[in-house]
Amino acid sequence: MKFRPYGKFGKKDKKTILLVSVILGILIPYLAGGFYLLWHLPYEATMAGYDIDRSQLIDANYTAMAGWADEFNLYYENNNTPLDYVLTVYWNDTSYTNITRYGTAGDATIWTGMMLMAQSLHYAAAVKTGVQSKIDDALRLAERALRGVSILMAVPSGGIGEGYPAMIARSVTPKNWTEVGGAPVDAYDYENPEEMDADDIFEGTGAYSDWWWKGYPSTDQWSGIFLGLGQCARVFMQDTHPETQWIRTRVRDLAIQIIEGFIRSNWMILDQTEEGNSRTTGQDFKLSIEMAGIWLLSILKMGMAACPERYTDLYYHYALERNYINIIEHDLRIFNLMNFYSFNINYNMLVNLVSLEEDPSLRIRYENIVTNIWYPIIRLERNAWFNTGYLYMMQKSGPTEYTEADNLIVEDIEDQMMRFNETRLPNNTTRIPERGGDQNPVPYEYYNPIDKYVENPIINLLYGWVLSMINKSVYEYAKTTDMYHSEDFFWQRTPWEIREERASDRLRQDSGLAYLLPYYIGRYLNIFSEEG
Amino acid sequence: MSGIQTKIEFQSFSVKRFVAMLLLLIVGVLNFIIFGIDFGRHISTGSIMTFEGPSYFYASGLLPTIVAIFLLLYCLLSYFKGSIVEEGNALILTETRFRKKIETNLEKKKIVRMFLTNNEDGIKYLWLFLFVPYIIINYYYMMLNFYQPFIIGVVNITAITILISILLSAIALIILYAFPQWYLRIYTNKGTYELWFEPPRKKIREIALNLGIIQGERKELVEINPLKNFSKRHLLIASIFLGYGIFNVVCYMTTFALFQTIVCYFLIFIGIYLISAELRKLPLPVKSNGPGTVQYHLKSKYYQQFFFLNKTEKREVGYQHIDFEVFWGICTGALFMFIIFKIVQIWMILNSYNLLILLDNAILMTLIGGGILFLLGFHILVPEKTLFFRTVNFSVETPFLKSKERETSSIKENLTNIKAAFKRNFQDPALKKKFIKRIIFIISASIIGIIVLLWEYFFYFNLFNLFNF
Repeated sequence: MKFRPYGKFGKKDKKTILLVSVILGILIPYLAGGFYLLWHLPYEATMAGYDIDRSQLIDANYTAMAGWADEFNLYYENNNTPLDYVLTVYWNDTSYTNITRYGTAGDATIWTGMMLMAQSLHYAAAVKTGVQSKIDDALRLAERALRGVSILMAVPSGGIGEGYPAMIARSVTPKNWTEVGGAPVDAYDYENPEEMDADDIFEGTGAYSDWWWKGYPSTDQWSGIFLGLGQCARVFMQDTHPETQWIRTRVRDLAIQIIEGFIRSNWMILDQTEEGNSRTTGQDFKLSIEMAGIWLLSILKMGMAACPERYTDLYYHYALERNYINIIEHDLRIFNLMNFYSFNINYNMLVNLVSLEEDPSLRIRYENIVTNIWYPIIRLERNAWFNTGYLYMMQKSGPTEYTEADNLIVEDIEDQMMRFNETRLPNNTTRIPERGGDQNPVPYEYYNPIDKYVENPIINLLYGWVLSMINKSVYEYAKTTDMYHSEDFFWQRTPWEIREERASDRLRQDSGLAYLLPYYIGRYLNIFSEEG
Repeated sequence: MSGIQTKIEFQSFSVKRFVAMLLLLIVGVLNFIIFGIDFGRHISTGSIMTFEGPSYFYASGLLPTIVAIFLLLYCLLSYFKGSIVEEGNALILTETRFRKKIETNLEKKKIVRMFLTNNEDGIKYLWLFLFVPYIIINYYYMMLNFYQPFIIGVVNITAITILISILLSAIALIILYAFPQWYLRIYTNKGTYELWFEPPRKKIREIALNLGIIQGERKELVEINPLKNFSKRHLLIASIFLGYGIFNVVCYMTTFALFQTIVCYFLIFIGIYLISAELRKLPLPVKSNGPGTVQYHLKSKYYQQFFFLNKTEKREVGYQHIDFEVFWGICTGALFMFIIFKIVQIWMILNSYNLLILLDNAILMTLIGGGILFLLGFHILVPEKTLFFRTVNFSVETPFLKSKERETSSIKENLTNIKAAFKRNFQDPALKKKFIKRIIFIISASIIGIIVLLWEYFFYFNLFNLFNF
């Protein structure tokens, strides 16, 4: 039997409480210190390093920039979108005559969605010029991007519209694609379909049973779709031209299909199984430690832009009643040194959310977050997409609205856009701003802020194991456009670390999204004019 | 005296916990077989939590497995052979655990009170804290899997497995929470002796009879028949809290819901706690059965209590607040904090853009949230008529069951009774002290809610938001 003397604690209880208190009193501060270092060092490394040297910036040549945009659009249309969605082209050799295969079939969806934003703003900028041929071109390219998004949804879901589930593919292909002359798309084995990875490649649903699709989509892929559809709705839902009716209808159908599907799945992403059932991939868009509030709000904002009468209440419900607006400042500083691409996918959601917000009180909240929490992290990254995205969110629609800080941002953007011309256009061909190789070397001077902590023997003794977890190769200066290797979208890559060149880099031709997206945001915001 | 032997021997094995363990083990094994314990991309029944995350086992199978292992160890380690022997002036209780004998030697004259019951709460509400969130979270996982496409003509194995897991876990929860083991507490002049055990059912009466010695005296047991004596007040609060909590949980996944699921957890905790307390309530005598030691045997269909009092004990009827134990502290604090937070928040965020969208919800939230807090405040602040058993050193209270005002159905009379009970807070100094303490507690919880809200609003402090789920 257990004996308890009268009184609150016996001697044994007191000893236990004392022991637990001492252990927790030491353990908790120690772990807190470790976490502080882990989160603080990247911040130290990438946010307080240097100021941008204005004297090194290249002046803008708007006429040249417009010409490059046309080049990019030409090859986007002719080479990179054989199935309407965005793929990377691999040429046979450096004469660039024959396409041997299409790549980035695992990430095609995010780039297609982002391209939809670029081409929607292309249309908006063209409308401002009033030149019909430019409007027609822009509309054709925007429709192409939207068809790309559509086919990526239709094949796994079985169709487009509210009655279909919200499934998305990383890429799709007709089964007979090579038979009709198409170069093979990576990930699909057209010759031996039975040997394809049955866990990842599935047969299309319903009317699309003669297609294959690559599954296991992630938040990355969806972020592009949400951004693209949201911005497409922003541009086209206000448009009254009958030529754009198809876009309006399609954007609305897709938005409803996606949101209704996610409500049914409690905002979890779905995939298919080998047996034909659906399954959850694990990720969801609800508020969690992993996921900031911007995600679900951004999805609903997309729905609100495409179908306001249906999703306005739900948006306010999540934003205000479920308190999502108060956790949109997800701390992303760590991504400066690891998984930098996560910046991009979070930025997609942020840009979509903030740019679509019209409620003044919510705008104040969002703008505060953008200015005070997000922008200081990316300020020195020399990233034209992030910088144009920042001005886009802050609704800076021309030089008259710029502050001194904004002027530097604009100069930085123009510098980065002009640097597409430097050595990224090998052999004097303007075809290849996104074709690899010949990038300028990164100056081999790098700043290693971690060392100063390592040199401290006490910190090293206590937290050596934490410091060893951090990648110490951090540049003092962020890379500029001319220093990146070829990438499907190089603004998603870290400007602080080196990457070795791969042999295939020289043969690849990406979609031009890295140029077109900041360029058309710039055109839309009047950062760049058409000529000059 | 009939039924009393000089020595009684018994074996204690926690059968109820063993049954609960078996149920939870079935859940664990089922989840293990169906979902596996992998992380990654190719789990055909789906992943949770993160990209290429763990299988559903970690949501619906892990907790039951851990609890089952814990219960299995508990059942094995808590098994003992016991004996009660009366020797001269001593009552000797012996437990033989793994061949190790533990003897507790009690001087009969120093035993001042004892009771033996299978109705003792202890900290059993922790089972609620553990399993209610488990059931709610898995309910969401189950529903989203039932909603999934491409299942036509195929058994939705994920959803069905989760459904079975929820049902079996709920049964285990009922066993663990509502059917405690036997609990013996012996009060002496120096302290108390406690023992949780589970002897064979037919031996209970014998054990009780052998134990029933207070200050060296023994008397016949007085049997008390069960009475239907549900407290309307408790049942009303329980049904409102439980009903709204479940309604809000169901709404939360697919449509609008006024409060976060964390609020629902506490509403459901309180609802189950009160209903369970009512169902387990045992009648108590209000009249003395003559001089000498009194031994009562109280029983209902499932519960019994052997209650041994000394003749010197005093019985009186008075007013008493509900016992504000840790359970009520946690639940009241959390509900006042979260609900005040939400109500203040929604009025703060109304503006000309969202006025029409949010005003109806603001009003509804204020009414429902205010109603919940009013009932909760009423429950912990308005004293109940109570029967006290008092001695020099101890005081035991139990709700006064024969109170006439309980039986009236007249609203007016009930209100008058409530008013009279509430006034007692200011008439009796002891009640007044408790009343003030509880008011301070409630106001503090509410202020914390508001401070966190203001902090969050102006400084973007986001820890509080993690409780959104």
